[in-house]
Amino acid sequence: MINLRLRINPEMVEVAWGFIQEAIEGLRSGAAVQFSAPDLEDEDFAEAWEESLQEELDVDIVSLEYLFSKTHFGEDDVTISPEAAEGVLRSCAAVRLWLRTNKLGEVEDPVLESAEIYDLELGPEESMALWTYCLLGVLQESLIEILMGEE
Amino acid sequence: MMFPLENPELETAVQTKDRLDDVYHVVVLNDPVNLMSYVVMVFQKVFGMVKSRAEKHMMEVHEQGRSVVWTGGRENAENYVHILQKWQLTAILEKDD
Repeated sequence: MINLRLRINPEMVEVAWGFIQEAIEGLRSGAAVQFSAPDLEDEDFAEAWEESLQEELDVDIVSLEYLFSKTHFGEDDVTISPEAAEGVLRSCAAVRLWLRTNKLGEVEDPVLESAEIYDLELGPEESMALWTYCLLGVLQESLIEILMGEE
Repeated sequence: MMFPLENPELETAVQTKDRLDDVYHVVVLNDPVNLMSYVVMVFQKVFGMVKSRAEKHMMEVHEQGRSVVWTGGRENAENYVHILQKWQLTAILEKDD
């Protein structure tokens, strides 16, 4: 089992959870995800490809929802299984991609990639979306450190 | 006078052999979102790469926009692309010329 120890202001976790829920809704509808089958000419194959990836994403998202809504994430230590941790990692990536596309369109790729975000002049919603984006990145870093440190 | 060989079974067998012999590359493309440490971890988990090799491929993706992370038969290559997409990486399949 994995013991996740992150301390974050509960009010900020609450703000992030709002954005995450919006992202999850978008991801579950499938509209925000771009799964590209190798052979797009074979429509049945492409459909099966996308459906299976969407099903796996739906399962991963449950782990992220559990972390944010059923535990005291940010306040207390949280214990999760390595499998759930992988689900959280993948769904964090999916939510970050969703936020990038749907909330952070004004931020240029090189800025986002370099993480030099402190001089950005953003509106309140964009700033909070960026906070959520960064929080999920920190969560990923923490999990990777634990998971790969154990191997 | 010679006639072309008309043997559908043989023809199918030859075509199947050609397809089985084809070589495909699994290519990962750059994106500005996924963390470097995340990409390295995915390469280690999916391909069993040692960390230094995973980092080399990650840097290729980061600096050159793409990296060939695996080469081989189509079925396995498709499987790897599927797994990489499950990890939310932008992965494609390319046939070797």
